[in-house]
Formats: sequence, structure tokens, C-alpha cells
Amino acid sequence: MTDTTVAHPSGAPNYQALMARRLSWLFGGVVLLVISGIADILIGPAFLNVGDVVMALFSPDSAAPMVRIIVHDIRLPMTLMAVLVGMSLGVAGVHMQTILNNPLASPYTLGFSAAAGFGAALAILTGITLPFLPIMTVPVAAFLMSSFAAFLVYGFARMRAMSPEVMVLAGIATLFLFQSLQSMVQYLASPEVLQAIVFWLFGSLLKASWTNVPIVAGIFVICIMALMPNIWQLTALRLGDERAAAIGVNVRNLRAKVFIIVALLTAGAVAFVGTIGFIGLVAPHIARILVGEDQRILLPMAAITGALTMTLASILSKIITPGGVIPIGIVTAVIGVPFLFTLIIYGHRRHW
Amino acid sequence: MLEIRNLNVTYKVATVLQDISITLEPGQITALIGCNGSGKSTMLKAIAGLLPMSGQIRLAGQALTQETAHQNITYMPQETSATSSLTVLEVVLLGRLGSLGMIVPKQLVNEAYQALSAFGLLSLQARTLDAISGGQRQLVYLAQAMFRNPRVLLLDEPTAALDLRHQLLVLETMQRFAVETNGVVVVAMHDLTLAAQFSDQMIGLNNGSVQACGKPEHVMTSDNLREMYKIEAEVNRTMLGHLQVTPLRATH
Repeated sequence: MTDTTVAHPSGAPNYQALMARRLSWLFGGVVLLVISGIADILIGPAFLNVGDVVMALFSPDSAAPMVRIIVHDIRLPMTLMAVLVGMSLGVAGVHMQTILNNPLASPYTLGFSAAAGFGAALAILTGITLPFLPIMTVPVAAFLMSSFAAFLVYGFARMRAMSPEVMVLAGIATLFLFQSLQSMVQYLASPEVLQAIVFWLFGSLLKASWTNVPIVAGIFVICIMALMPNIWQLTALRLGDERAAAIGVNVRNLRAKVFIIVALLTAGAVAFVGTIGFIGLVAPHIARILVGEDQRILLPMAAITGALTMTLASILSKIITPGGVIPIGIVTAVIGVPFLFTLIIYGHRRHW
Repeated sequence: MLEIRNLNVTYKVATVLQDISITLEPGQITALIGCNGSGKSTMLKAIAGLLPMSGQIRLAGQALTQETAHQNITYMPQETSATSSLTVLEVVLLGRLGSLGMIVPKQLVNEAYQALSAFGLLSLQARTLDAISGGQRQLVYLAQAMFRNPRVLLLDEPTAALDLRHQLLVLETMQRFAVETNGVVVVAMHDLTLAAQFSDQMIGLNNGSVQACGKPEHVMTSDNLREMYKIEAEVNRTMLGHLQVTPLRATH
């Protein structure tokens, strides 16, 4: 222990103290997330008080049936969906930025969301339904198209040794391609269909239900488990490809694997709620400013900042128009940008 | 002993290294010299198992696989620019990537502190990589390389970004490493006088082939320098017996 005490003559915190500080940020984030999650459930067209909501959450049997139905069947799935989508996009964004070595990268910039939008628009336009699960048609179309976009980018990148520059270029080209296709579908659509498409594209939590929340949760858990063995290698990648390779990282394989995971996380998240791309850009930066680059902390922190931004955006979307709900995709940037700017200006740490 | 036999490296269609065969003794420092593009970095990377190549490399009689190369050989790249906000201590810790789990043992952290203190970097340990100078970064990377406890240390122009005192610090550390651990050290350098002063053996590369190999005084001759660097240079001994190169002019 003595040598670690000697280790900081400058008065700078030693490693244990640094980790403790980061963990306290993480803990603080969790507390805030719980508070904003409960607030999100509280706020809505029907007025509920805190006591009723807490009771409906923790002992549903003793709550009034009306309250139980509102909390349990309507608001809780929406809040959970907000949290899960925020976590998925936060994690997807942080790893997209890491593997592409680019602070501007996000699932959105690589066209995954645009492709999901096109898939959904196409399904709405054609009116095709899945044989057994008609309700899942649009999400499945969005998921498949998003995966297809990822496959396109991946294919190009694979041909060029998974070079980050090629991935970014192919991704942006894919973004434009699917945006054009999406515009074409909108152009061809009748006014009623167009309205449905535009509503989907805005991004909304209204379709959250006990059927789709577990699916997003399942995808998230699987992806996180797949990332875990590579957590230190992802940290090492921030030293640059050459140095990471020199300490034993198989950079090309790592990049390929993480790219697939990011694509899956994004597709899973946007399939049910529409194109909410912004979280994937801003949440990782907020997390990085707060806790640094150690992925053991950065990964959960990005998930929490993503989820927090989503729940706060959800609250805002409900209080802007009393009695109504503005699609959440419209307000995420309104919440995220001021927060990010504040941290960039006042934060001690460089943001990239 | 590190034996390299018939090492060839080809990028697409161009042959970058041609039929290199050399033997590197433990406890000795080998300086790798040659002009820009002569294949110095490629040779170091190929030995470290970071490039596809053909030929045999044996360490202490054992043929190297990709895995044993990673375990025993540490290559330190030349590039020192950084956009990362990893802290100095984290960079050193990453040197033992294989031993890092969800919890980093205190023992490992203490060893990382010791690696930093060997270079007088303790006061920087909590600073981020993008907040220190290029020379300091070079020392941090060297501390990381030492932290790996390699048997073979391959350094690509480790003194390039450093002032004289730090250059000596790096070279003395290298010397201590070679003697104390009986390790093999290969260092690519552009400062020929310093290279001669600190090396036991010298390899001169010219267009991907070995121009000359042996004791510094045999490799660093006016004739070899003319061939390798396309320069006229005077090679003298100082009063203390050190080899000194005075570059005169570039030839055409």
C-alpha cells in the first residue's frame, strides 16, 4: 500500500481513488435513472400520485385496478422501452465510435436507422402483414432492412481489411441510399399512409408493450454478454490500431465482431420505436467526459446516459403538450444537446 | 538467441524485405539503421508477428508461433500522436492485456506504478494521454513495453521525439533491460552517432536487404553510408573512442 501512496507526489488521485470516483458517477447515474424512470411513469394524461404509482409498481395486488392498468399495462412498458432503447443506443454508439476511431460515428451516421426507416415505410406502404404476428410486421421489416444495411457496409469493409475509413464512407453512402429510398416511398404513398410513415419515422414509445419490451431486453443482454470478453481489448483499441495490435489485439477480428453487435443492438432498438438516432451520438460523449475511456465503466455509463436521456426526453414529450404526447424522437436532441454542450464547456476532460 | 532465417515480406506485389538472415544475441543491443523506406519498421513488425511473412524465426531454439511471438516479443511503434483520453497509468496497465479482468489486481497496479517510476513519470500517472507532450507519451509507451516483461524488445525510433536527456534515459533503460534480463533488444534509429554508442551490433538495411551486419565500426563506414543513405559522410573516433558521423552532403 505504501508504494501507491508514494505514487502520487503531485497530489493527483491514485488509481483506486480514480476508480472510486468513476464508480460514484456510475452509481449517481443509476440513482438519477431510477428517479427519472419513476417520474416518467408518474407523468401522463391521467393524473396519478407518487404513492399510488409506487404501490402499483411494487405491490400491484393492493393497488386500485385503474391505477394498476395505467401503470402496469401502459406506462411501465413505455418507460422500460425508453430505458432499453436508450441503453442499446448508448452502448451501440460508444462502440461504433471506438471501432471506427471517430467521434462523429453513431448508429445513425452509418445508415442503420435510415435503413430501418425504409424497411418500416415499405411495410406500411405495401400493407403486407406477417402470417402469424401481423402486429410485428413493421418492426420485423425495420429490423431486416437495418441488418441488410449493416451487411452492406460490413461486406465493403471486409473487402478492404475492415479499414475504419472504408466503413465510414460505405456507411454514409448507405445512409444516403436509404434516405432516398425512404423519400421515394413517402412520395408514392397516399396521404393517410404518408402520415403513418412520418409518425413512425419521428420515433415513438407508444407501441411499447409486454410483447416487444422483452425482445429488446433479450437482444441487449445477448449483445452485452458477447461484448464482455473483449472489454479490455476495446479499451486498448483507443491506443490506435498499431499499438493495440502490438499488445496482442486482433484488431481486424475485433472490429468485425463489434460491428455486428452494434448493428444488432441498433436494429433491435429502432425496430420498435422508430428512428431515434441522436442518443447514439450524444450519450457516449457524455459518458466519456464523466468516466474516461476504461470500457468496464464506460460501457455501463453510456448505457445509463442513453437511458437517462431517453427517459428525460419521454417526460418532456409528455409535458410540452398537456394531454398529448409529442413523438420522442423529436425531443431527444432538445434534451441531449444542451447537456452535452454544458459538459464540453465546463468538463475538465477532453471529450475525444 | 533470436535467429532469423530467410525472412521475406511482400506488400501486394512489392517485395519490402528480401531474404534477411541474422542472429541476435541475448543481452545485446542491435541497432537497425537505414534510410526512410529501407524496411526497418517492416522488419521489426515482421519479427513481432504483426505482418504476414515467410521465413523462420526461432527464439532460444524454438520456432515462434503467432501466440508465442505475442507473449515474448514486444514491438513499440514509432507513431506517438494520440487522440485518446486514457490515463497514463491505464496505458501502462494495458501492456498486460491478457491479465486484465473485470477487477484489476492491486499487485498489477503497483507494478504499473513501478514501471512509471522507472521513467520518472509518476507525477503524470493520472494525466490523460492527450494532455502530455509527445516526448512524455514516448516514455509512457516505453514504460508500457517494459511492463510487458518481454524477452525481445523491438523499438521503432524510440528517441525520435525526445530531447537529449530523455534520449539518454531511453537508451540507458534499454541497456539496463538487455543486461539485467538478458533480453534481446533491436532498436531502429536515425541518429547514427548515438546508435553506434549504445549498440553492440549494427544492421544496415538498404532497399529491404542487409547491406552490412556486425560491430558498429564495421557497419558504419563512409562506403556503407554512401550506399545506404546516398550521402557523403565522415566517420571518426572521438578522443574518448566513440564513433562519430559527420554528414557532409547528399549525393545524386
